[in-house]
This record gives sequence, C-alpha cells and structure tokens, in this order.
Amino acid sequence: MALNIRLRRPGNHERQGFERELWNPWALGCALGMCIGLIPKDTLIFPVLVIALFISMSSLWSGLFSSLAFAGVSYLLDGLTQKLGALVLTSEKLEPFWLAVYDLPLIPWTGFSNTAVMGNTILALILFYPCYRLSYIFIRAYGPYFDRMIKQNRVYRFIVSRDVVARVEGLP
Amino acid sequence: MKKWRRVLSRLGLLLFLLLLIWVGSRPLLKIGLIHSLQAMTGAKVEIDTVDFSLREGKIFLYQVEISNPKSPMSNLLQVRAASIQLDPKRLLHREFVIEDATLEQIQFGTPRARSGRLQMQTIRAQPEHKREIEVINQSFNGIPDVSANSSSKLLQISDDRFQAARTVHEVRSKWDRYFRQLREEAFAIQHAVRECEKSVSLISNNPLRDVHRYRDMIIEISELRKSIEERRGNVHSLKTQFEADQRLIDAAMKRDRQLIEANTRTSNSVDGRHLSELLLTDQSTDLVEEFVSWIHWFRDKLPDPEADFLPIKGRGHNVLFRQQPRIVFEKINLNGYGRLASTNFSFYGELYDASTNPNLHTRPLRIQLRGSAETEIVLDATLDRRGAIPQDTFNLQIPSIKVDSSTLGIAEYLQFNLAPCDLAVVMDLKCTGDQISGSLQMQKKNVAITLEQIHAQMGDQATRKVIDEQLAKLDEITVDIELNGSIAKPTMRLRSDLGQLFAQAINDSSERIRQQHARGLSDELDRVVTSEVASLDREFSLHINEVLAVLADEMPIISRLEEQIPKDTERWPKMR
Repeated sequence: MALNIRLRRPGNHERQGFERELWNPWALGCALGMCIGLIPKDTLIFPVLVIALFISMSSLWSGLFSSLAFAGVSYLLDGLTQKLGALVLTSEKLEPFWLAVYDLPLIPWTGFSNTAVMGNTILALILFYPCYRLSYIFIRAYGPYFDRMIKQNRVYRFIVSRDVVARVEGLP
Repeated sequence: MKKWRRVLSRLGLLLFLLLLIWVGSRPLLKIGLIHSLQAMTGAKVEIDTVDFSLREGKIFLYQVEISNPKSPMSNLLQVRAASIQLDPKRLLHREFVIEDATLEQIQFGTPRARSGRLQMQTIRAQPEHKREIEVINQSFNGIPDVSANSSSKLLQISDDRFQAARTVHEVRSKWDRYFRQLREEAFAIQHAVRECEKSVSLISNNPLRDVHRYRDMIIEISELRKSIEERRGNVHSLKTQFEADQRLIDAAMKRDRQLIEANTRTSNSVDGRHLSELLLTDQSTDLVEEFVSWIHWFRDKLPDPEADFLPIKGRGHNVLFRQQPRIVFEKINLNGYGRLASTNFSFYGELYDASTNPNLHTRPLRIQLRGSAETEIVLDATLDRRGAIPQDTFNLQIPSIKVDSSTLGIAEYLQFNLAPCDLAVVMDLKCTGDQISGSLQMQKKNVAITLEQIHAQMGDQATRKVIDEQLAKLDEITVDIELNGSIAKPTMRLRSDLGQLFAQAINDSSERIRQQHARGLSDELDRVVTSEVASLDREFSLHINEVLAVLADEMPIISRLEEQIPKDTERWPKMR
C-alpha cells in the first residue's frame, strides 16, 4: 500500500504525547541511528551504540531508518571524515593521550586509531545534539501523522492483531 | 504498566539479538577469519568448520585451504586441523598473540578444483626467474677428450712422419735403378765382347783381307777391357754407397722410434675432477635445484602484502601508535607431509615468532622441523626480516634417506647404474638479500654401482674390468658442493673422489693401449724396414755378383782376343 502522507499542523492533543518525556524517543532514535550509520560497523562502537539504542527506550524504527540514511551519508563524507580523523590522530599534542588510551583494555577494539572511525566518531558527536534537536522539531510537527499513518497501515495492523510483537517500538 | 511492557519487550528483543549473535558467532568468526587470512595472504582462503572455546581462549579450525596467490590452481598449504591458543590478556588490547598453535597434517602445493584467485585482488606482476644452476669449472669443457685414443688418431705405419719406411722406399727405388743400369751395362759389355769375338774370328779366318781392321779391333778390345775394369771399380764404390744408405735407414729408424716414444706419452688424459662433474653434475643439480626451490618457497611463497599484491582496502588508515605486528604466532606446532629427493616424508616441528609484519617483530622467524621415524630430517631455519636486507639461514641434516636407482654419466660415453641406496645430506646455506652462499655435502652410502656403458675410445674390456674392480670396492660416494651467486641462478662448484677413481683406471687403460700400440708400431716398423733392408741387401749382392760374374767371364775372352790380334804390327800379315 502506497503511503499517502498529507502534512498538516497537528492539534494540541496530538502534541501532548511528545512532550511528556525528558528525551523524545523518536528524536533520540534518530540521533543514535545517525551515530550508528556514520561510524564503521567493524568496531566495538557499533554494538555499544546498538545496545544504547535498545536500553535508552528510543524508537527502534527511527533508529533503523536514521542509521540506514546516515550510512549512505557516511560514505559520501568519507574523504572529509578521514582527513578530520587523521588530523586528530596525528596531532603531536594529543599523542600522549592517544598512547595512554591505546594501552587501555578493550579500547583498541573501538578502532579509534583508524582515521575513518575517528573522523566519523567526531562528526557523530558534533552532530548528535543538532540531529536530536532537528528530529525533535520535525517529529513534534509531523510525528502524529506518521503515527496515524503507520497505525492505519495494513502490515502494522496485521502484526499487532496477531500479537507477533507487542509494541516493539516506542511510539508515543 | 505500559512502560514496563515496553521495557520488557526491549529486553526480550535485545536478548533475542544476543542469542542470534551467539548462535551465529561461529559463522561470524569464520567469516572474520577468512577475511583476515585473505587480507594477509592475498589469496582465497577456505575453512570448512570453525569452533571456539571462550573459556580456554581457543579457536579450532578444520580443513583449511589457503590458495597460492601466484598459482591460483594450487594451494599454498592445506591443513587438516588447526588449534589456536590466544593470549586473552593481549586480546583485550586487540593484540592477536597466539601462544601456541598446532597445525595438523600440513600439505604443500596440493591441486585445487577451482581457482583460488580473489575477484577483488590484483596480483602484482612478478618477474619470472628461471632457476638455472651453473656448474663452475674454468677448465671443464664437458666430455673429457679421449679421442686421442681413437684408431684414427693413433699413429699409423703409413704416417708421413715415419722416415724409415720412406727412406727404405727411396733407397730401394734408387738401387733398383742402379741394378738395372749395372745389368744393362754388363750385358752391353758382354754383347760388345761377343761382337768383338765374332769380328776377331772373321779377321782371323781371312787376315789378309781384313788386316786393315786390326787397328780398330785392338782399340775396341782395349776399350772393352777398360770398360770392364771401370765397371768393376764402380761396383766396389757401390758397396760403399749401399753401406751409406743402410746407415741412412738406420738413422731414420732411430728417429721413428723416438717419434713413437713421444707419441706414446699422451698429454690429454682424463681429469678426475672433470669426470666427477661429468658423472655427478646432473644428479647434484637436481638435488640442489630442489633445495633451492624449498628455500625459494620459504622466502618468497609466503605472500607479502606490501610486495606481492595490493592489499584489500578498508575504510581509512590505521595510525600505528605501537610498532608491533598485527598477529604474532609465538609458537606453532606443525606436522605434515613433504617431498625431498623424490621421497615422500612426514615431518613434525615447531615454528617460532611468525608474524604478519615480521619487520616489526622483535625476533626473527625460526623453523625447526624433524622428519618422522623413517626419515630423520632435521631442518633449522631462521628468516630474519627485521633489517632492510632479508637474512636467512638454513641448516639441513638428513642422516639417511632412501633414494631410488639412477644413472650417472652420459649415455653411450660413460654411464653407470646406481642401485637404490641411502643418501645423507648436510646443508648449510645463508641467504642475504637475493644472494645465496654455503655448502652442501651429499653422501651416498651402501652403493651398488655397475658400469653400464663405456665408449671404445675410453677403454677396452681390460678397462671395464679395472673399473669393475674399483666399483666392487666402492661403498660410498661423497660429493661436496659449494653454492654461490643469486638464488635465481646459483652457481655450483662440485668436488668428489668418484671421478678420480675412474679417471685413474681410464688413464691407465689409455696408457696401456698406447704402449701396446707403440710396441706394435715399433715391431711393425722393424719388420717392414728390416725385411726391406734384407731384401735390398740380398738383391744388391745378387746383382753385384751377377754383374761381377758377367764381367769376370768376359775378361778371359778379352785376353784371348788380345792374343789373337797382336799389338805388334810386325806380326800382322803383310798385304800382297
């Protein structure tokens, strides 16, 4: 079934659900998904972020879509992020710090000594709050329509009606 | 309540994912290992089964095949089973230090059903080095020159250099001419005397009519006498000349004997060193080639990501904060199968300090291999890649290995059959960069060697017998080889006492043949010249005596004729 998205300004009763919690699960999902998407997957950071996505009770759907979208963006920005990573890693002032970090257990598994990992990690950290904020604004404005649209979706209704997964994602 | 349901559902999902990861850990580990090994070797890696024990920090691999990146249709090595004991503390620091590993049933160069070339891998073009082993010997010209023994090269009696025969021939021709001339003159004198006799008889029958011829007859008879006496004198001088010619022949004979003697002393005898090279070069070259191939394999077949292929590119570059290899194998227990000197053998041993980046490792790679019970091979090798120039040492000791029967030498020239025997090898080689140096000693024990072929020029049945006697005494053959030059084209200097053994027999035989020939030649010369001289002497006496007899017979007739025609004109009849 084709999605028929009609954007309109939500009413007050619809916005109430998004303002009840400290961290908006959809926006947090988007921000964490952005981190997952940007950072290369063959490091220890990837499972840590996935677990964080799960335990933070953020939206898995928004996390999934965000990570997929930002994975593509990550490849597009590889040149820039690698230069950034190399700049940070080869800085003489930071060298003692990196050496100390490198000697810590498990840390080398994060692959921080890789320019792509370091560059993307820095980018993810920089973009985390802006991404959260922008997502929050967007979701606050149009989240209820997505919610309604998803709930009206046949596949969703099929899954819910069969109790296949009871409320697996954190829709408000 | 709704919130708790959400928390529980999340936890359930997370546990489900963790379970999935646990279940899929073996395939994941397999994929990870294959990926890592492929990045290390630059060739396709296949692992049948992977298992691990987190508690013991051990990984088990079964049926591992690492294809050869330079020859994709064969495996670099094949391992039936491998167990890897990782150091867990170092693993926390992402250091793959394998404290102890065991590779079971290693096989090298096994064929593959499918190509082992990686699709994304680019193999760097390697210059092909055709290994050729050059045998050093400044004076060795291949087959020793024994052609001087050839019948065509031996001195013959018809040779122009022989003077006696030629002198005899010339003397004979000369004397034949003289004899003919003497006889003709003698018979001419006889004829003249007869004619004179007839004339005198006619004059005597009718003296008055022919008195005018008396004077002529007296002159004629006088000339005949003079001529006979002259011939007699000539005959005596001929005897002196004949004796001078005999002395000439004797001198020529003397020179000829000297020539025969000089020709018997041959300068181109077979050299023992050359003969050793002739007999043993092929076999030694094969063995050296095999050893050098192994060294080549040790040095070059293990792929170097920086030299042999373009490594698989990941995202980004790793900044190395510690100069250390990514994976270190502190000890690997090996056992498998190899092939050496055409003999299959099983081996076991240890490999120490192997690493993915040997230039960053603190210790060089060491290999200690031992052959199993039936083949007691001991190999100690060190491959040092820490410096700019690779430095490797190889020490191989094979106390005894069974080798198949073989042939030594060159067919139709000098060839021996060597029955299966025991071979002992001691090899000590050093490779610096692409240069090789060192020595190799081969000792063939309990040898049963038989002479298969010997060229007629090299000896006869007697030579064969002498060589057979020498061979019967021979129990072992020792060959010392000195290797130098580049690994791609090493040069080999070979020494052995085997050639000396046969060279002596062949040279003795050659000497004997020459002396026999010289004796025969001298005898033949004596026979030919002596018979010719004797014949000439006989003919001389015969002809001289004949001539002298003829002349002697004519002298009384001349005297009688002189009496018949008196010189005193008063006694001549008076004309009326």
